[in-house]
Amino acid sequence: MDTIPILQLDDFLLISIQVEMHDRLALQLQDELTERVVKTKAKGVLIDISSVETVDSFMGRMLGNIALMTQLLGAETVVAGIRPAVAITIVELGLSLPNVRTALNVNSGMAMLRQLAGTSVGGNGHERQPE
Amino acid sequence: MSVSQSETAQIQDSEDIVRLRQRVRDVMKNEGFSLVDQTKMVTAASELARNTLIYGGGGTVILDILKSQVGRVGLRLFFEDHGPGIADIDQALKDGFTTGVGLGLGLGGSKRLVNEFVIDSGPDAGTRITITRWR
Amino acid sequence: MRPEDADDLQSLPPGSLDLGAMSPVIFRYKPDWGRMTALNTINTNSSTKKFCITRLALEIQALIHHHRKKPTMPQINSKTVEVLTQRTKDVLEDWLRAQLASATLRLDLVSENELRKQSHDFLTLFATACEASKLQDINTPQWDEAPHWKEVREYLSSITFSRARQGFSSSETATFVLSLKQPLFSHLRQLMNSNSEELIETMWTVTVLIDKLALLSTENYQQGREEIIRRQQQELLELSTPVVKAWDGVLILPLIGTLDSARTQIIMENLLQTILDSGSALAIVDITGVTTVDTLVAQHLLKTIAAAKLMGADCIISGIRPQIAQTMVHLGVGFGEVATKASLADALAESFKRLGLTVGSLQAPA
Repeated sequence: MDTIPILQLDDFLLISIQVEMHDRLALQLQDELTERVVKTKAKGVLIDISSVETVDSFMGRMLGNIALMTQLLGAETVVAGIRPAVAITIVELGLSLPNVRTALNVNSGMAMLRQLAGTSVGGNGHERQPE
Repeated sequence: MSVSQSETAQIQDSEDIVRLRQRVRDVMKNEGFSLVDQTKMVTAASELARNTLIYGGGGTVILDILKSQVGRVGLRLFFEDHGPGIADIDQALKDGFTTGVGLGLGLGGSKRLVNEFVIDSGPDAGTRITITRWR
Repeated sequence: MRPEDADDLQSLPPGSLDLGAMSPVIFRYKPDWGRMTALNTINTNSSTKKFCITRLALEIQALIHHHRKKPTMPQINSKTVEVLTQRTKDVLEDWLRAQLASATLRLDLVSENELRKQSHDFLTLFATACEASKLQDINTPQWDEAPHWKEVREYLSSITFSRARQGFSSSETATFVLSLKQPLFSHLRQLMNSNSEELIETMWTVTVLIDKLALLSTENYQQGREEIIRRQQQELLELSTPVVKAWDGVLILPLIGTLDSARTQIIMENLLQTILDSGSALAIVDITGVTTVDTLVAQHLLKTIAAAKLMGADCIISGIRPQIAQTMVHLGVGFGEVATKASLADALAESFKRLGLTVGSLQAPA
């Protein structure tokens, strides 16, 4: 049975989806993740989908749900590494993922989460300076 | 136009959807479809297979590789179920329309992802959908 | 098939391509072929039409041949093989002479030495295939698979493809193999002058064979040209959509010309891939060079920007000229939430601001 490991890094949870997602696995991930957010009092969740080749409306809905649920529990969710072909397909399909924040890769995703959580990370040149 | 290869698969549980996605991707990779073409068709297949499973109560899919007279290669998928069918097809093709658990993007969205989309359904008549993508 | 049909078919001159003369027979014999003749009236591209007609002529030739009394094939074919194997040198010389005298000769594109080499190599393969097959398979489906003929066809294809690339016309290309008929016939005549019935049968077999090869050559020629067109289209598309790195983390996509669906798709893929490869979180789409912005173009652009956003990159549209802004307002076209700037310079300044960079003069102001 496939499972998707949830890693903890400081105040953040990190998930990297490396397997072909089937519907049951997606629902299982949703359950486990919300539990872990509560248990660890995480301030943010990063989901790396750079290995995912297909995002259909079911998977899109799952990502949107996770973002909304974690938000209710006080943690922001960032989805990192959507591939170009997948991004084009999502747009054509008509999925808008309105609640989901996205980042180019795990690195910029983590930077975004830290910023959202108000943790100072020092200037890496990509951060917006206070006005 | 001729069919150069044909195979049939069952859609009875959610793992069949995953298997179909993998099969479609392999076939398209072999036939030299671009990555974007592959992703669009695999996604459309995933949407329609899930419809077959959830609304049609399971069914079958036939996967055909087509060769046109001018040498174009295409992939055609034919989904068939014997479920309750769709009463108003025009409405079902609109974005946001759903009678079930999805986002209501399955039919209309899949149509945008492929080159050809043919649907045949009616109340208590099951649903038959054919999609084709050309290289 | 009625006897008078057979007579009609037989009365047609062999190798004739005159569809008008044939059509009454074709209609009577096989209604399906009537549909093919409709191609003649449709405004299709002329080489397609020519191909269909030639194809039809070949089918009819095969049919006539089929309905004739089976001649004593081995005897006939052995003569052809004899000419090809024992008089190779003479046939080659005659063939070359015919090619060099032909109006379709292109010495500007192919040298005499090269032509000699191609003719020699082809004739050698052709003779070997004739000898190995005894010419008995040319009207059977096995012809397509027989290994000795495969070699002949492949060699002919390679010549055809290279000629298509060099700029030969399709008739100039087909003449290469068609011009082999005359020298072959004259040698056959010398060898078989006593038996005219046999000579006709032999010449017929050779005609069918060479026409088949000529057809193949025409078909390949067309494929070769189409390949060239496809490649050039592709190159043009790629050349016309460069993605430029303006700064660390900032890309510029200068769009020029008209945006249609096919081009937009390539532009989109190109931009998204570059965003991924360079790790840029900002992309400026400059439309200064875009001639018109209608609803469709705006939609294409918005899709591209939405896809970039999903990947985690923001886009700024720049270079909306005054008259384009006016047309857009009249059409009710907008870019929604997307940031727009009048000039590329403004867009660049905006991206620097977002990156927290400032641009200043090296000299302190006085």
